[in-house]
Amino acid sequence: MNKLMHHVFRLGCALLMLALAGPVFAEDAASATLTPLPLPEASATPLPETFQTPMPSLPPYPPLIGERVVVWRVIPPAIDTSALLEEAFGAEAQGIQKEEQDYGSICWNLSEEGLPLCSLRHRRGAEGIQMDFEIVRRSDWDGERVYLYNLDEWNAIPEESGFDAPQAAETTEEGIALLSRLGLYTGSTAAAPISYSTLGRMEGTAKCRKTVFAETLEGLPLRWSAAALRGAEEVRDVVISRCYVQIAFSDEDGLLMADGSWCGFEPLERASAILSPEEAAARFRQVLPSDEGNTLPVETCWFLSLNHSLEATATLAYRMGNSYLSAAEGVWLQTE
Amino acid sequence: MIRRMTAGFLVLALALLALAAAENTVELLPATPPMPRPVPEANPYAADDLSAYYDASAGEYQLPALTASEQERLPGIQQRWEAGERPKNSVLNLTENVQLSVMQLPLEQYEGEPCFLILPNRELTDEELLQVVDAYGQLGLTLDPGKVNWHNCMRGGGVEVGLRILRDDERERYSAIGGLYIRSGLRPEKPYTSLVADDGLGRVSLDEEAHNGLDEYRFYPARRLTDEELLQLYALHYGELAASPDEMAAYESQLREELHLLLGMPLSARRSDYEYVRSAGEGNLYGDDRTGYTTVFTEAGGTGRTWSGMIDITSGRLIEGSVTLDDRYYADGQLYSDIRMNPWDEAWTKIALQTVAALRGFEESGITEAWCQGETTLNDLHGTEVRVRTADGGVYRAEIAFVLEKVMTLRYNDAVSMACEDDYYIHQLTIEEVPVNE
Repeated sequence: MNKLMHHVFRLGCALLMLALAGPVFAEDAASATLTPLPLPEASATPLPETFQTPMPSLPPYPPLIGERVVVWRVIPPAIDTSALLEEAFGAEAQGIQKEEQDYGSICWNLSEEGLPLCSLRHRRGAEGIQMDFEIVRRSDWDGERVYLYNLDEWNAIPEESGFDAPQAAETTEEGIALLSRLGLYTGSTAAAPISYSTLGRMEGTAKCRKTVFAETLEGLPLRWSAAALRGAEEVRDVVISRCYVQIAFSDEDGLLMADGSWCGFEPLERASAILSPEEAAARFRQVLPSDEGNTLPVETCWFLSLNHSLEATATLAYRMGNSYLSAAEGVWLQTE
Repeated sequence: MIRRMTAGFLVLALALLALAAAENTVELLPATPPMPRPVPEANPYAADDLSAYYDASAGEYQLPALTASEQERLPGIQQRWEAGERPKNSVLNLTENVQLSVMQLPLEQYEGEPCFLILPNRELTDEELLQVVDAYGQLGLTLDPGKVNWHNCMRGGGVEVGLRILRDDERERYSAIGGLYIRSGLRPEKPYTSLVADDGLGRVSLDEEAHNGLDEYRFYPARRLTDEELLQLYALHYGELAASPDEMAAYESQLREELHLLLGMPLSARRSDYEYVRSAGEGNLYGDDRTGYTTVFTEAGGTGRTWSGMIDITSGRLIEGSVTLDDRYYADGQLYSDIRMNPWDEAWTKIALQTVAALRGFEESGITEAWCQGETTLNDLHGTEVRVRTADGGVYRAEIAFVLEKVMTLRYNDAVSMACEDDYYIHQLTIEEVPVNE
């Protein structure tokens, strides 16, 4: 009996195996040798180009024709220190004293009296992101009481301000020349003049002229996110400054002062297609209520923000009011 | 045979063992869950934690403590007092123009503290230490420097707010009571007393020089203030009013009409509880000495706009006013990026004119000129100010935020108040006032 059951069992297994592997083993059905399953044939269609492109990583991304940079890494600018010192002290100055300060900042002056002075400063946590610079040649309070200027906007003379004012073009050109000498004009960054004011409305103040410049990247304005600018909880350890420079001159003394914040940039991501301004405008109107001003103009700009590692990037974006839409991915970067 | 019996006994033993194990299984009997331990409810009127205010930046004579020298001299002073020596004057419960005082407290209302020590911003003399020891002694207490802290001591104006501030419910009732004080003639049954020991509520007027400019210190007990006590506080602060309830009502009507005509305030706007008759120049240096009635209104059933204004009670005309058209940024500035644009662009003038025309109750021909005044900031948001002058010399000032490209706040000054303000800014500095660099 046992021997019979044993044979039945073996026959059953064999039949089961034949049933499962019939198509493959058809030729070898009578054979006890197993033939391995064939591998699938290699695809004849190459992978799409995008999949051949490696993910962006450090160091810089290889350039590809037909694409534009849509994300930049924000880094400190390269300011020409020699030019900074020459603007502050003149080409022949001797005995310049250098003082190193917090967060890698440096201040230079000629004497303990303080002026003239210049400095390169980093704000807390922003050492790897941007740099503040300053040149001060004349103080608003002069020890000999012969010179007093005040650059506050409420000291502006409305009738002599605006880019149509008599000395506006000349003052703006002087400012651009200074920024160029400092090395702030690179292949991608430049300075756009955004306002010109003549100051001296207050009795007793000396007349002077001030231009405010905004840093641009590929000709587009830079806009910091609210979270970065306001020191939101998750990025409170980084103190961000808006990327503007103000430069003031007077007829008597020439350059009075220049101060501001600037950033450098290196490419991080590229894209071959971006939303058109019309598409972006339609998206804004869908999302923003009409009474919140969704009829405002759409501005193409760079949206600067901090990631969780407190690194900054500049993303190509469209802005309407306080809302930002990424141009490449069409995702909301910031909403009202 | 023996083998079979042994096996049988073994099986029986195992079976019995199994049964025993089963019987010893613990079954959880149903029971009520343990009662939660009562957690004492925090007293919402307890003293605020002021320890955070006393950081490293506080000077030695502003910390709520005796100095090292005072602590060193104290035992000798204590011995002298115990031997019968007494100070020339007592500092117990001094409440007027105080440099040094020991205020008795009803300890059930002050979280167990029997007294509060007010110290000046300088070293105490031996006589003053004796005064302090004596004051404690009169209360049956002995001064222990180790137990002097922010909960029972203030030195040199170190903290201004007292042990606590009014809570939300107290502020709300204070506001409501103020309205009744002004419009219904409500007055307290008993006057406010400076002494804390009698009712738990009190105040000390301070020698400002000894307390770094602080002029008053208030005592609020660690319990809810009653309506009567809040009324006493209101009467203490505002005293006799400059106008009767009927006059205040008439002024309000006049102000409503002016704000309606000039700043588009709807008739249904609600008045706040705070309204005053005061000098137009009070609180600023602009030199406008007309007497005005002022209050604040809030839009009802709308978008929450607010208006403030002051009329000249003699002429009934608006001296100054403002409307906050969009307070999103003020409500939560953290949500807003900030950008800068050209403040002199004529586009801003158009926006300002449209806004003024939309609010103003009479024709736009009343406007004579408009100009950009320059860049301004609206609570850290950059913008521009556009001024619009009217035929009667009044000036609207539109504050436009660049990021939203709209008027956030619109202000109005009549010709006199505008001239006063401009005059102040233009003549603020003269050569004689320029300080000399040392």
